[in-house]
Amino acid sequence: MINLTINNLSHFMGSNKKSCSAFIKSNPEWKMKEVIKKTGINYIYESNKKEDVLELSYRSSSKTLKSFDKKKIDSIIVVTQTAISKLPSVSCILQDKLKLHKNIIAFDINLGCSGFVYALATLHSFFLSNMTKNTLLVCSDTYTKFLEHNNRTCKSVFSDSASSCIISKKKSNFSPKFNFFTDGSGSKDLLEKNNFIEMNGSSVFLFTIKTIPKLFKDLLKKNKLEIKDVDHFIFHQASKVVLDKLRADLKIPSKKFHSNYNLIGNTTSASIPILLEELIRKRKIKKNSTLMLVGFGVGLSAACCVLRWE
Amino acid sequence: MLLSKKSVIASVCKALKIKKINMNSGSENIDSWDSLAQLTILSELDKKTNGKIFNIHDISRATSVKDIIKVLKKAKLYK
Repeated sequence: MINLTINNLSHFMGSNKKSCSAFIKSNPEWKMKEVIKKTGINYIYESNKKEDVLELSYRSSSKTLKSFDKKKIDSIIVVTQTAISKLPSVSCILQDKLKLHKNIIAFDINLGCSGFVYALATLHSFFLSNMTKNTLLVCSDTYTKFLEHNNRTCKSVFSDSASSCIISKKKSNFSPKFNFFTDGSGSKDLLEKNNFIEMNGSSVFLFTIKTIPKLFKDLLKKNKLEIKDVDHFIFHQASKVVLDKLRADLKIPSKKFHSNYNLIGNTTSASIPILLEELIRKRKIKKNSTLMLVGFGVGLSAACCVLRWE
Repeated sequence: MLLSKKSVIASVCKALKIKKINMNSGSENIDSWDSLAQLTILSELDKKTNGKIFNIHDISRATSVKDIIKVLKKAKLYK
């Protein structure tokens, strides 16, 4: 069987760290105490004028590649929905900027919060078909560049960042399994319109709490696992209200259910790998740990997978 | 449990922390009724219906008392 390994996780946040409670200065009518109570998000990071998806991706990838032989990279995938332009893809520009060799697969995946899991699934199928061995995977978005100053729902939630890592092929007695869900009827609930992002928070919330439990249980069943068999649950860091509801509904023990949204906000597709990086740094994830990753959001789209950490 | 006009109004008042609203109240005329407040309203209604509210797709777009009652009627959760 073929497993995948995730190494050299790094990230780079937008340079402007902002306290959500300070939004009240520019928007005195916002009841930020109540907003923060619901979102659980105390700080967000906004990119500055010079920081776009390409720059954040470059900064993060440079850290990832510091201790990895560039010559071994045979593919780049960038997950983004806020690329600097519609064409060309960020991955192609990044290949050149990082001075990676040219005999390489490079493409972008246009997905948000489910994007990291989608990329892992894509890569796993590449590994099975011997297309690639070592991929530079980057997840990056700069939502805050597309928010109107009075968009309280989004302003106090989203952060700009890039996360990068090397996904490698590994022969193993374990093979990851994936589960997906798409409901385009909710496409208007989170979208970019006239260059601004708009979100109907309650519709996305309803989609999440209805969809994820079924997807989650189906995946456990597919893997013949129960909650007690999974060591770590790493969900997309949407916000407190969403994650509290999911954890309660799914009856996941709090010790196994990780979060970091309070300090960095919702970083869309980068939220799962950034949290993963933190757990590795804190040595919480050990060799052979079983992980469940769950992404959900814009699309509306959801994806989850069970991995064994090797 | 089926909801009445009185219990819908009470739930909305509790969620928005305001004392008085009427059938015409909604996000267009109450400043604090935004998408986060909508979640609180839905949570309040969900508690009263033993978890049935979150299964109604249209409820997230019901942003006035009148609309909520309309959706509840359609879902047969209104008496």
